[in-house]
Amino acid sequence: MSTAVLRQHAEVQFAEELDQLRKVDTRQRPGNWLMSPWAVVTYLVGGRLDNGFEVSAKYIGSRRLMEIAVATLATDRALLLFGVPGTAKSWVSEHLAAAISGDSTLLVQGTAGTSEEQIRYGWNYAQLLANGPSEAALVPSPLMQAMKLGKIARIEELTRIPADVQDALITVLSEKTLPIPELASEVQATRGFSVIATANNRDKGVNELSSALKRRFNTVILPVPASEEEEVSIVVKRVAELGQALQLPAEPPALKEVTRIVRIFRELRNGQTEDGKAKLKSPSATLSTAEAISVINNGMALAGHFGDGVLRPADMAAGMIGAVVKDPVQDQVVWTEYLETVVKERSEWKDLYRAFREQA
Amino acid sequence: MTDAVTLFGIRHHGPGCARSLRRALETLQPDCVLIEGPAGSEPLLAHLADADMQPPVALLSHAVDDPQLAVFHPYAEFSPEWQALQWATQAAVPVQFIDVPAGISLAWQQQARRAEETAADIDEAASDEEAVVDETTANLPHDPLDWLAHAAGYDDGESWWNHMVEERGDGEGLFEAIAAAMTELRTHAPQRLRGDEAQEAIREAHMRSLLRDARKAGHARIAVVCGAWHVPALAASVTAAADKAVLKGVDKLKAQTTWVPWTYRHLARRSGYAAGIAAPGWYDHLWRQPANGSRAIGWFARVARLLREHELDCSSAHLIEASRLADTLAALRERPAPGLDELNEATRSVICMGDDAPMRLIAERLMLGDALGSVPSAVPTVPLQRDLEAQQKRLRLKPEALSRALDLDLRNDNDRQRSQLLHRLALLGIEWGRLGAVGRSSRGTFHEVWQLAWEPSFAVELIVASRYGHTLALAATARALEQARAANRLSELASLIDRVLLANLPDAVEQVAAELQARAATDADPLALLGALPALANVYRYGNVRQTDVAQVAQLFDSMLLRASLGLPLALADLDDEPAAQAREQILAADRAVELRQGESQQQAWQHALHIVAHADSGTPLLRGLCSRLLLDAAVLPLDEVRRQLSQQLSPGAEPLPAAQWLDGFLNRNATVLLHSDALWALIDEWIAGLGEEHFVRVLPLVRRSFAAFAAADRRDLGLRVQRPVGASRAAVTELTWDENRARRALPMLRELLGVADG
Repeated sequence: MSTAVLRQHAEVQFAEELDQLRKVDTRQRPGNWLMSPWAVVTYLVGGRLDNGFEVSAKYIGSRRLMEIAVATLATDRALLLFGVPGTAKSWVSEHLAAAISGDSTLLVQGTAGTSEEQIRYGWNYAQLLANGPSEAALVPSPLMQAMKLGKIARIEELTRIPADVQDALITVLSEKTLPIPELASEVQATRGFSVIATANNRDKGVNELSSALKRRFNTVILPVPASEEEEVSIVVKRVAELGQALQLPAEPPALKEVTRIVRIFRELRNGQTEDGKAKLKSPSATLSTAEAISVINNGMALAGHFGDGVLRPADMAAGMIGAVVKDPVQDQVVWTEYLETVVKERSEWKDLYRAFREQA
Repeated sequence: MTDAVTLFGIRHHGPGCARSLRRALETLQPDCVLIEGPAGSEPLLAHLADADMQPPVALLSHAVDDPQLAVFHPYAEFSPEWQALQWATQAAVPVQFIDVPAGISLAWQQQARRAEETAADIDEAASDEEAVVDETTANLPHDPLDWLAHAAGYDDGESWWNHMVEERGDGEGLFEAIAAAMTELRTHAPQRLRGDEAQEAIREAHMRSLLRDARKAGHARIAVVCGAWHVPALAASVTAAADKAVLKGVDKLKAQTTWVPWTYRHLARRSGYAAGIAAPGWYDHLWRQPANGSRAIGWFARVARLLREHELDCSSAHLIEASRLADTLAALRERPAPGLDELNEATRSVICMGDDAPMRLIAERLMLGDALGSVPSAVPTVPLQRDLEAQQKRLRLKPEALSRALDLDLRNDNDRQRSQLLHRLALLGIEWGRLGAVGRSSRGTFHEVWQLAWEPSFAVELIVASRYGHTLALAATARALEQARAANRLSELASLIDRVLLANLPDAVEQVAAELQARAATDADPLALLGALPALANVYRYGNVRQTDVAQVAQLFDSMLLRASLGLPLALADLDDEPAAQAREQILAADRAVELRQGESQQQAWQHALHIVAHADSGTPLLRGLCSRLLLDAAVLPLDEVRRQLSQQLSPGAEPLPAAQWLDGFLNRNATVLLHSDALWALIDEWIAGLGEEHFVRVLPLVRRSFAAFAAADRRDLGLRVQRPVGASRAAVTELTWDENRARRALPMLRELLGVADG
């Protein structure tokens, strides 16, 4: 592989780990799987193999969740990974496909413009006009490829796909065939075929899954980071990386400021204060870790270009309110309530309270 | 050890053990059954044959002199001990309990309590709670099964034991295997550091000596059912003399034992019962569905039924996929069959779409279960009843069937305690006393008037209530907390706070307040928050009469008021007639509550909210008018401003219907403002006079309704006021003309009546 590639596929980047796992893996493998379910779980959550080889953790979190995901695919059911943005859904889906099929590239990116051709098959129109419908004129979708090869197909952002296009999946998932009426034939899925879809459970409203389609998926919800420390360390790491890439003039923020932002995000997201003593209302906003990162980046840009280069509460107030108050009516109440009942009461947060009040 | 004795090491409440035990007893046909239970309680076993005896039940022993000291031995249908008792009753084989008598356990509890009190007498309530803990807790402070489980690669002892014993079908060699495992464990287990080692030794010595007695009595086949942990100790050969030495001089309290109905909830570990199990409902299922392929499916079918009852979708196809996933998960984890963990994960993933809410329902209703046992009416009384009797005696309140009134002066210590007793009973649903209406309304006074009437059914209700606790205070607290959790509306919680304060239950006050706080934070409806304010204000204002601590209530009130005030303007926008009328009542009640609170900042926050509502364009007219009026009454809104608003609302350009509604709100069933402000009077007069006929007919019913709500005297004054021309002074009307001569003729008589001298 050429080194100029910005980002390698999982199966290339972790080729050695996959190799080592396959070597020690003596357990039973479902048809067409490159390794046993046990080995797939080990690949995802990391661990030391019997031969002393260290497998790195791809997913940091509950092993049981990964076991459910892998067991789902082993029963040839489709897997739906649900979660707010930034909970490693696509990351898990890519690594699952890489470990099970050795190929994470059979991917359909769901958008509002995704058409049925992208899910089923399209036509090479030159061929179609010249020779009429034929196997040669058919342009298979990644899903069709996966069915033929017995591999895992991935669908990203399933809920962004229009509802009528989503329905094209129902036959594939229940009958495991893809009819091609134009050729009076069909493609039948071979062993090992399955689908991993990811969806954002915050914008369910975009194109909610029909219950017929829902029923064909097993759902695993990937949770947000479990503890404040874990989340702070993720944010600090990403902010440093992004700050470098964007060449922000401000110096990286102090841990104290990051901790405060992460705490506000966590408290509003979880609907209770971090000490668990008081309950709060949650706004309609997602408040993901990724948004916390962008609030800090935004604040750093403000501080660097217009301030004294140090991240101050005032620099991030605007970004913070923007991230929390997505609905100008309901969220404003939630935010004001939070401000008046929580932020105001914390004596060491006085500066923050003032900055927020001035913005409001 | 001779062949006469067979030891069955079991786990309390293990269905697999119970099934194997039952089978083993059938084969062995023992002529005597010894069970690890409080020795001396055998007379109570006579009740086992009664059809009214339905598990779960518990043997409850309490100290005669101190009902707060109590130990429970609960039995569910799937408890091996219960099955052994049942078998013995049916086969008419004598049963002997071999654990130490309840009196000894109670003495230990008392010692522990004293040690705790001397160590730290700060948290009295906590030690009360701990007294409830079962005696079998002394058994296994740190579950030794955990050690075996870790060796086998399981997370905890419970899931290991479930897989190895309870969820398996076979019973052959089970008890030998358990005995072997426990012997190994006891030789290698780290020396336990807890202070109950001496107690363990006493218990085991006691069991050995009773076993020895049974053998001496000439029984040929003795079955011993005891906790697996004790098997090696019972099998060990220890001389009778050594055991006697251990048992010598052990303290013992006078104890009384009885059967009480029990619940699965109380069997669960999270209820604080240390030998409890995680999921009694699951064990019940294991007991009813013997091990075979249909067990998982049976469980899923129950899940499906539960979900459908709550109108959640669950089809047969869901169940098929769920059981496939559960099987695959079990295979992935290298287990022979799916256990509860796998079943739950499959349910969440396939049926619930990853959602937690239905899972909580399943945990509550299926895993825990809501079974409630019953005991025959012939069994002796419970400590709760004893506690009540003791208090009745102390406070000189005799239970009498005849209804009689009782006037309590709350400044008097004895009377206050009587009032608390009655309030506590009321919390437990025992309406011995009914609080008279006078007492209710004159809460600020020192008097309560009760109507007392004792009914025989109260005795039964006491037994039912006894599962909440064994003193009135504990039971009422537990019951109040249960009600708090079940309460749907905030106002219910607020009045519950009132009731627990009246009953003087500080623990309950704290926890109900916490519950209220938590609900208030998440309840999106500010009107619901307002609904809770009046009760809280009452508590705050009049709490001091009863010497209760109200600081917490004040804080609660303030935070709820703040939340309600912030959300109020939004909640009052564009309401229909009916909700608006309800909101009016709530705002009026809340306004009075805020007044009772008598706090500067609270008043300001509230008035700020009213101000926003009064001036909001989108607000409901009725409520905007009401808010203006409240502000006017509080002298926050200057009269000029009100006049401006009135003229704006009633100006010819305004729609007549909203204008009439606004006026209705503004007048607020009270004519004073009209009678005393000529300017406002003139404005309203002008408005009505200026309406076209069609508009007049439309607003007439509304305006009439507004005016009909005034007091009769006000209406008469208004009528008089109408006779005067606008702007004319009141004095002009009240000037009277009278005949002096005629008036003089009444004077002599008046003098006589009043007893004054001529002059």
